[in-house]
Amino acid sequence: MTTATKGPAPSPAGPATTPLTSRRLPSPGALAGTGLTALRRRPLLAVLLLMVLVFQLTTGSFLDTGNLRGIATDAATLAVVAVPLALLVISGYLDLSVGSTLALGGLVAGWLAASQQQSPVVAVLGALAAGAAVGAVNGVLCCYLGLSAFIVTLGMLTAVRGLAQQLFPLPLSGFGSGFAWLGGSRIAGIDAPVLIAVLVLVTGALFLALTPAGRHVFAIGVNREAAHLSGIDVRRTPFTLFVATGVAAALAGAIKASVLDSVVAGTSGAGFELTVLTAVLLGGVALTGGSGSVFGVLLGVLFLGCLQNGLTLLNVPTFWQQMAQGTALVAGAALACFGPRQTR
Amino acid sequence: MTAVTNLRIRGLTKSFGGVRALDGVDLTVPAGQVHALLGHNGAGKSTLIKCLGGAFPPDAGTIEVGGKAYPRLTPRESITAGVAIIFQTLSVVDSLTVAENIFLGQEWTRYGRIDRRAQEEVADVLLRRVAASCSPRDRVGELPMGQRQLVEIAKALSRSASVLVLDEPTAALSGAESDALAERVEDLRTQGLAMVYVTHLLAEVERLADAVTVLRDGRVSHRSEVAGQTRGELIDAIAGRAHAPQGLASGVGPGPASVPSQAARPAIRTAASPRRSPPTARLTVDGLRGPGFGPVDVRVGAGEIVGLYGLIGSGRTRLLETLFGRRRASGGTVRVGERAVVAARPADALAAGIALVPADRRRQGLFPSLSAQDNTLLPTVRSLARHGVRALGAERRVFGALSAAVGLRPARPRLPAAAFSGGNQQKLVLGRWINAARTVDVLLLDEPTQGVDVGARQEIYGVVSSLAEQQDTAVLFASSDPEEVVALAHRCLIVSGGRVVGELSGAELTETALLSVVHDATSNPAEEAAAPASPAPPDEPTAPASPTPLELPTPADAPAPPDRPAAPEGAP
Amino acid sequence: MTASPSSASPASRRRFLAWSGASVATAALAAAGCSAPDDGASSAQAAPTGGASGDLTRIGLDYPFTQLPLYSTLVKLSTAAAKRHDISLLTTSDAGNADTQATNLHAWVAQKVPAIVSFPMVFEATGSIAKAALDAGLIWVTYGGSLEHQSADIRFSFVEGGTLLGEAAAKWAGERLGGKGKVAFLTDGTIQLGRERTKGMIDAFTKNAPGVDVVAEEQAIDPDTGLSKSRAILAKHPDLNIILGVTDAAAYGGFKALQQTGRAKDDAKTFVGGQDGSAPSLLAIKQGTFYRASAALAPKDIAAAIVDVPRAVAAGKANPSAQVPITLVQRADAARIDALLAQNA
Repeated sequence: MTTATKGPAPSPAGPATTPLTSRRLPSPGALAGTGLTALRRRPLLAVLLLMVLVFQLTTGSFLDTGNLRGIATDAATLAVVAVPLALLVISGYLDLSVGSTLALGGLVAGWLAASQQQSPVVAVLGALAAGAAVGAVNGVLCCYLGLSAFIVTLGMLTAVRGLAQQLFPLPLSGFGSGFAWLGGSRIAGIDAPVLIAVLVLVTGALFLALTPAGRHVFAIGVNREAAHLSGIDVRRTPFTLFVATGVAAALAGAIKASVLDSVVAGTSGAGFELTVLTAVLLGGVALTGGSGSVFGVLLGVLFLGCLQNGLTLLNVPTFWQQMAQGTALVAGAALACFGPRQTR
Repeated sequence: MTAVTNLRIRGLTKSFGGVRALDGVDLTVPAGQVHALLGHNGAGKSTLIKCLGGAFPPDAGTIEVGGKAYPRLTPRESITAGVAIIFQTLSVVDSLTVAENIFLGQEWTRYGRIDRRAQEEVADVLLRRVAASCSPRDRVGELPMGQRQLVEIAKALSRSASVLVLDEPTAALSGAESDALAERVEDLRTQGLAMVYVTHLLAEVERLADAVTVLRDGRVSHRSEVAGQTRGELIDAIAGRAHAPQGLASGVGPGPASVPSQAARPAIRTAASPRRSPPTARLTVDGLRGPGFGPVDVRVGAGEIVGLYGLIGSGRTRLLETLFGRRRASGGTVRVGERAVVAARPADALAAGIALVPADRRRQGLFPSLSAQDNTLLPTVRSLARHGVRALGAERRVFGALSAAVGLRPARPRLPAAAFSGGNQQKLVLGRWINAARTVDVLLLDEPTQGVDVGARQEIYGVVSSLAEQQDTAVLFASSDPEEVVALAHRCLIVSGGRVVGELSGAELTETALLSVVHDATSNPAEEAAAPASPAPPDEPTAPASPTPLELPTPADAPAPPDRPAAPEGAP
Repeated sequence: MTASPSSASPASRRRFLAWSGASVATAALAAAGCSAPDDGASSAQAAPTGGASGDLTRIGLDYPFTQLPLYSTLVKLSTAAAKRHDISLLTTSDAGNADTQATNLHAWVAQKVPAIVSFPMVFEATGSIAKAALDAGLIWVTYGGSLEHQSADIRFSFVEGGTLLGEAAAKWAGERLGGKGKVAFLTDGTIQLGRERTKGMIDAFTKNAPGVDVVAEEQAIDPDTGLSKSRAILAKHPDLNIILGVTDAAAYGGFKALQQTGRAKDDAKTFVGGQDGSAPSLLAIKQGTFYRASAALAPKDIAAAIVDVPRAVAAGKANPSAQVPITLVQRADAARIDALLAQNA
């Protein structure tokens, strides 16, 4: 992500994040041997680099700064949601409601900024609060009442979408220049959404590697009962992750609303949940819980972003594009699976 | 069944990633014989069975069933050849009826529809043949474990199996059920089946087996045609001590380590060791009650090791789990030292200094895919952390010290727990509560050496004993193995029907005494097993509320002792 | 009205087949100088409803694309329009799913909802339901097309909307770019309406501005996709002049992408246009940005038709069907923009 603004795609991201994210190797000494070792441990990284190479050779403009910026900005919202969702999946849960939460977040932010003339900060905080509320409902139902996360969040996907459309039946637009800052401003040459995504990625990686709660996330995902008997609060940690996922989805919604300067309740974030989940799973997070890394998620996000962008650059007809996308996903997953596996 | 020899395995060899799980194993079982297969966990028993069932293709060697030799078998070929394997985890489908289970995959049809009546008639005959008391129309999920096993055996018979493999069949059965099973095995022997009987229990070998093979590190370390061995000889063969062809036994990979002398220090403590009057009561339990047990009074002194001995369903596990806050008590008080403890959750109990090492390691204790260090330090990372950031250096030091103290092999902090042997896994779980950064006042152990090989067993006893001695920890452990109680406990409480019915200590504490006390107390252990109000076995994986009854074999309350008080010469 | 079926017939085979019967009949009748029953065979089936004109108390509006802003507007406006005639309006919630739509329609037929106005997502799949409704003595009004069995229909010429936009953009390119430049189309091939709009737009533009290079045709109907596709296109063609969208939402994404690559809001050499007349786009047009045109439907007109067509059928009127006009809105049409925005509010 960081790299997209600078140059030859994701390789510089490697050294920055590897030692933090590969959870069995937190020792800083490990980052010396990146290069080939990283490729061997992360087949998806090799696939990604190959894809970038192919796109650059065929289009000639894939690695242009402008295009990389575009990819990075597109992938940013995906990454913001993918990281907390990945943690949630590692702890053995799932959130399918993020697409609707994203819409709700964008609408609340837009409504506060446009109709209520609130400051951008208040608008964003309002969106985050809405996202936290959705996450908390998910969390209470799944973690404290023990309902199936699949069913609960699938239900919330529809319910929150309905709520969003009921509250904001008409499209919102014209949020003002203050709010445009969130999606449009640049700090040190980096777009704000990308910066936010990097912040989320680093926070996620540090959380997993360096905090006790990060260990608990894995423990709960691997063996919830054993974690409970080890005295770990097996409800609060995933609950917090549900809230974090809701907040992140709402933040992504606010970013998208700011970038587009408009939100439509019915279509904003439709299908987003599956895209994020795809990125997360492609990044090596097991749906069964207990394994995964933030670096992997970053790769998954970049893979999707580059694929989409490259196919558009190549001007591939729509339905061929869909076929190519599906095939590339399966191929990516297969390579990641049959290639030399990272030791779990 | 025509041939005299029904199963003949020759030179079977199988490696997994460079580690030899089986190395030229021979095994011959004639029709009408029960052949006991012994060996500690990881000795190759299950690999052998899986090769026989077609789950793994062997690297070399032949399997000959009914006179026909196969270099390798697919699961389907294995069934057609007449091999039936009754795994520890039964493969019956709970939601189907007995008859449906028996005919699963080989349904009888009539005009394209399943001929239910014909199936039930045949099932009835088969069930009678194994003397099962259930009806063909019963739903398997509602049957007790012993009956389910008989259903599975009936299923094997329906496929006209001539070789029957039983993998630790009594592990999940009550005493009465085990006896019933033993009778079935004897029946089936007279019906001419060749049986391979995998077990850890020497008493079963003595009762049932015509011949014995002991595996050790993938090789046959002992074989005798008639089970006229003394227990001592067999144990030596299993543990690879005395004469056995030791060879390169101990050095190979992360496999089960043999008994290294280094850790065998206080190995077997004598029951006569002093501590008659414990100085102070560390754990005081008064009138503790809960569903299925109580009221119970227990006192454990500082540095004292107290055993809870009882049959399945006697309430030992429930008592421990209630003390640990996994189940809710309905009355009574618990004190650690002078402080009263109300444990609503395990976290409360831990805060009060009580820790539990559960019986079902795989479900309740271990995080298989996480590293050894994560496994042991999980409850401790938070207290070691500074300002919410993990203290990685301190974690490494604590783990290093611990792995040296308990003799962890291999002592590799990053190796996933799944790669360790049963005994070393148990050390990891145990280490959670006894490391440099965390000690507990009261250590509860449920079946502390279940699925642990003989050598590692001694080491674990050593760790627990020295913990009590040096840290003054009060240890309360539950066990259904009289041998273990005698080896480990200073004092033993006999539990039956959810209450403490007797106490043995000092010189009185012998295997014979334990067995006889239990049988005096409960004239009918079968009823006892079914007695507690809730049908849930004590070690349901999730919160106590979930009512799935007997889905898993419950290793928690595993091998109940056989009926007659076996061989008093007992302990190794 | 006669123009629409003939211009639509090449649109898609599916549509063509559905319409061919009606258009042949219409053409024949028009040639004969006979103005009466313009729906030929289908209008004959309007009779069995049997009810007297004032009997209609309920109308079911089945508009499947509940995720579109237009849905809320339509429901609001047609509920109000219905109320003026003491009619209550029922709605379905199909959430853009053709299977759900079929289920809901079956339920309405079973409940004998007296008049059904339905926008079929898949016309072939809806024919049998329409017939069942007619057989049950109900009024069936097809929205957005025609079916073999129906009481009447409400039609739009989506092709015409696309054509209007394409022509306007081509005209602009001729005047401001000297007939040269680069255009990208944001298209839709997934539903019938989208295919018609796409075809009208592309055909009209390429015919009238043959000198402009078509650099991309990308699937996009929502602003997110519009934005990311346009970004990618712009990465390859930073000098892109024109983006035409099959929806205003997609075009709005393109509008934002252009701005983010540094194009001034009122750049004189840039043209963005879409279809629908959605609020953000109308505002952008009104403010004098390079978002210059939208082929807009007036929700009020549609709402009126939703109520009036079934009433006309119930009253036994000879020619109950309606065609809702699509008009191109540009900066000069300030009054119309205000009117449309007011209807949306």
